[in-house]
Amino acid sequence: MTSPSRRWEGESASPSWLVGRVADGDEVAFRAVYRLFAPAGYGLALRVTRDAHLAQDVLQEAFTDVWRGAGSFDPDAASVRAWVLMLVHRRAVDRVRREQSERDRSQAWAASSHQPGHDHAAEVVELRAEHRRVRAALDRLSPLQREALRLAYDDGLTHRQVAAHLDVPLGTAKTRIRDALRTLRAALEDDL
Amino acid sequence: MIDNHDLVGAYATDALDDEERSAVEAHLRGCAACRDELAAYREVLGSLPTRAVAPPPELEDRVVLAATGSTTVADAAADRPERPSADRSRRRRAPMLLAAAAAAAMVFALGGVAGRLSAPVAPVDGSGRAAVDAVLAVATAADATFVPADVMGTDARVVISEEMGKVAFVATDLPTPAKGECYQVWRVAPDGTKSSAGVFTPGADGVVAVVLDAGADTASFVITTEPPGGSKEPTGAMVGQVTA
Repeated sequence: MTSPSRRWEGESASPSWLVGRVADGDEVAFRAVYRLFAPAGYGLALRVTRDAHLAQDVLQEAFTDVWRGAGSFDPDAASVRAWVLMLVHRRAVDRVRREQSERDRSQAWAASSHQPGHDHAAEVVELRAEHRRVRAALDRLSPLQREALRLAYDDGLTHRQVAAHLDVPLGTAKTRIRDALRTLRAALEDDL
Repeated sequence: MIDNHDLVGAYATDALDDEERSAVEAHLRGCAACRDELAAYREVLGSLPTRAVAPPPELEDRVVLAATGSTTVADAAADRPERPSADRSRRRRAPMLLAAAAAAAMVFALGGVAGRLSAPVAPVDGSGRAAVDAVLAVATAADATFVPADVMGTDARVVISEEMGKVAFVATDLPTPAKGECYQVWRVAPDGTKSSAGVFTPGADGVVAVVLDAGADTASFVITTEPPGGSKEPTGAMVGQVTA
């Protein structure tokens, strides 16, 4: 029954087409984009904030960015998924840092609340790696690269905090994050 | 002096403070190589499988309201009495907005026309919310195709997903048919045989959002006006046509 080819002529309602409609102020297209990417975005926001209420605020802020920024989205430069998740991640990190600095002001630095949980990290790496292709790419990371990437991306630490946490010079932390991304990029591109 | 070129990885993972972020953004504007590198890193990060978690259903309306400032939902919500101040966080308002959105007119815009979807699209479904949900389900299908349709000169749109076997008709400003009459959609088989896909009447402002079975082997759709309840075969004037 399912025809592999498109019989009907018209515009394919691809995610980037939908974002184009959002740029024109189309609320239904906006809802469609939300429905397509909110679950991944919420998962990411939860991973970084580890708090359902914060993650919901983050999602709201990020999708406000989607609505406002749809006009400058360049489908040739990025996939909609990468773009939306980038917006979610940035808002999540900003939120975590804001919460953290509020805590820092109101009480003495409580080491426990800032220690990225290692069990959580292991779980995250497992969950992320559901897809074989990406799992293979992640396997190419050295443990040091993986740790640096996890602290920066999953835990939302600045590269200074990553350096302090790993007790390495700032330049080393920076390099490890970049090397991790380079390795993943190369691994994923090899795979294509 | 920071070597901005070297900070692209940290930038991509949002691992910079505000000052560094601005510095890298200034650098990016003038460095195409770094922009390419950043784009590649973002794709890498975006492709890491994230455990998808369904957000609470009421969040969608809150997000749409916050992003679009959709006054229809906001106005409906504003009719509600104020809660005690301790309870007045945005978060606590969400369920109220959901209820308001379900009942309220919703801004509906597909294919470049804005209108309001308010009255339920009888007799195909029961509420504005259900109509939007049904249309969105078709619109977010992997094989969704948007096809322009000429229905009485209005800027109607048809969304078809063959995988779902559904076709969604969306229109605004569709004239209300003569008293008691309705619009009827017909599937036209390759041999010309017509079978009814369903009947509808426009809601307020001539808004239509209906989802019908597309049929297995449909070559085109035809819309006619018919007596109340529709006809067994087309009798009225053809007002619209959608061809594969």
